[in-house]
Amino acid sequence: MRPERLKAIAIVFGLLAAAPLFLPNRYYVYIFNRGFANALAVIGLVILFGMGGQISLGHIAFFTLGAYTSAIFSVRLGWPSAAAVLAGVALASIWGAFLSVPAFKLSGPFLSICTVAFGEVVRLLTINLVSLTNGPYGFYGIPSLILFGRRIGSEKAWYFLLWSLLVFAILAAARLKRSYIGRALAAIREDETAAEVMGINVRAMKTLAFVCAAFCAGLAGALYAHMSGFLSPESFTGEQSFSLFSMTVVGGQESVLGGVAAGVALTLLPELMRFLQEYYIMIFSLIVLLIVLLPLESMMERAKMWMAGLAREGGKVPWGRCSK
Amino acid sequence: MKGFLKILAVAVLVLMVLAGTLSAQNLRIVCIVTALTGSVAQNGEYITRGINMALDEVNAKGGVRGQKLEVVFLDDQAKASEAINAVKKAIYDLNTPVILGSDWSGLVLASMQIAADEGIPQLVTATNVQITSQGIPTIFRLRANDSVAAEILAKYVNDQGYKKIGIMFTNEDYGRGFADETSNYLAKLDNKPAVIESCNLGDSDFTAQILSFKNSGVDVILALGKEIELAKFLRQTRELGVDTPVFGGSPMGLDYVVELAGGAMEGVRIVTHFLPTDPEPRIQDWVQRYEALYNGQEPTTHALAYYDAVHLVAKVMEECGTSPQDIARGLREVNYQGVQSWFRGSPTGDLVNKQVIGEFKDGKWHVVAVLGD
Repeated sequence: MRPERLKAIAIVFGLLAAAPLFLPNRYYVYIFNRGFANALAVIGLVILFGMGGQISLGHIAFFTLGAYTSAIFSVRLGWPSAAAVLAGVALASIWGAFLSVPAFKLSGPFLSICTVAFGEVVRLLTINLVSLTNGPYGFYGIPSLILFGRRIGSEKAWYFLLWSLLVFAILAAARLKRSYIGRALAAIREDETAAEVMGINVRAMKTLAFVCAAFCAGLAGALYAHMSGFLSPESFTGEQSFSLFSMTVVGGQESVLGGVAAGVALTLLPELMRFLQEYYIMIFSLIVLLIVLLPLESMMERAKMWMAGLAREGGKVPWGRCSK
Repeated sequence: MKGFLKILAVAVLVLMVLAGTLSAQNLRIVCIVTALTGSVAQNGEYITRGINMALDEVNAKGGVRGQKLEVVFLDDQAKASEAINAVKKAIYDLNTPVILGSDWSGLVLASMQIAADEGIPQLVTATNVQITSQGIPTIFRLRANDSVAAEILAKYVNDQGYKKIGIMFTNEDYGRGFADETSNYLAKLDNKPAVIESCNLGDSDFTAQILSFKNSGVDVILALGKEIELAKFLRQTRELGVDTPVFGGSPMGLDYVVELAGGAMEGVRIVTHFLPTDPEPRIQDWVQRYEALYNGQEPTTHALAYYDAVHLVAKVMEECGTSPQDIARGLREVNYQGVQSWFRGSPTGDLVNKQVIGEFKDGKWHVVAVLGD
């Protein structure tokens, strides 16, 4: 990575670390927290879909598993909340490993149908296992997280916790991408047969990718449960899976930082557009559509060249001269 | 280009400052609407209509304590996570002294603890019993709760002599709660429901449930739950040639549910909060004013409940003060006759006990009986 880019990233993250100090009030800190939780889940999808090419359209299921497991362990069994979060992450990861089994044989649309079905199964279980999940009434009274003897209760405390976990996850995912695992996943994405011929253990790699993805989403979910204190099946529908998926795509699929930026931005954007009243969701969806449809990268290249031309010649450069 | 940007930036700044000073003179409260967007956006439309109508009246009479009353609408998309966002925005960002809404029970259950922690009173139209049974001092309800409706429904069905009762409910907080309450009351009357079936939100094929009712030979079906699903259920029931009498809850009374159900609504009886054909002069007067304002469109229970809510809040703020504590105190002691019903303070926060039994005949809802006041 080029040093100036690294510097820019460091500045952005430094600013984000200090953000709660200058955000106008707790509400903005809270929506950042929601954004960070989503971004955490998106990192998993970047590994699974961006790096490994495995489609998961039921990704909210892992989020749900993490959230409900943590809630059930801490409320019904009285576990300490930190241990309950670990249990939630563990269960989500185990189910991630299970879901990788159909991915050994299936790919493309067939795999995506399979993951959609998994998402629906989990959602219907949360509605119908009333004795465990309190069903459609929603699960309330989930205690705050207690970490090393400190209660994470305020929006700001959550901000710093989620932010540091997010930075850690970004570093881990970026490292993973450049390791032999990342290269193996890329090989599987491009051509599974060729990858197998080259001696890559395709099944192990797919399982690993699914477990990583489920781990991230499960962690995000488990933390969300303690952050919001309330879970309800209607928050974990297929729509949420699609929005996680679109965050990944908007972020550029393969890019960990892009996924994180898209995860945070697409969570903040509808909240910031609330002043548009009943039109805000429509306009938000339009923006997402435009980001995906427009060749943003080549436009940015053009803009860069245009600016460079301006600086060099000190005059106007017609668009036509920007072509490579 | 740079000059243009500068002008634009200055213009935006000036506009923001202007907007800030303009709204600063108003007394601002927040309504969380279920929902401005999504599948129940029609309800959101009714809610905003009722509120805007009441706002105009309050402000025409000089507002509250010399200030104009203003309502900021926040969408909750009928989703719990968004309702939490909206409540946090209302309290932390907009510093509202009181919150109106949400309309769905699950959304209120998700968000009411946040408002309670900050001591902000919340007036809701959601009817699940659990909302006011948890001892939260800041929650107030503008309609009779499901327990009242369930008791009336159970008693009415039992009195009509039905002996083999089937219950159909949508598996979410409202439908499930209403169904549980109703079957409890029926059990007390020694008339336990014979068949209980359910569906999930978003389902559109109800053949299995309808056949189950048909095969077990129930003599009445209680369809309890959300609007869209039950409208389709009702329609399919009649299409499959099952003409068992159907009873329902307030969602069945909405005009778009009637439309969606086609001719199948004929003969259906419901327990609800308000019907525009209620002969009570107070209500008829309001219905005429509403129809004059909104091009002859019929008002619904949402519009009236929120209309009353705005007048109620304006009155309480006028008499007791505009801080959250003042409003909560005022609501605990309130004794006010709105258009829909009387609103009386109670230890749980339930302000209303009125229910209307209606029957759909010749393309219109007719009031069969009014219980409570």
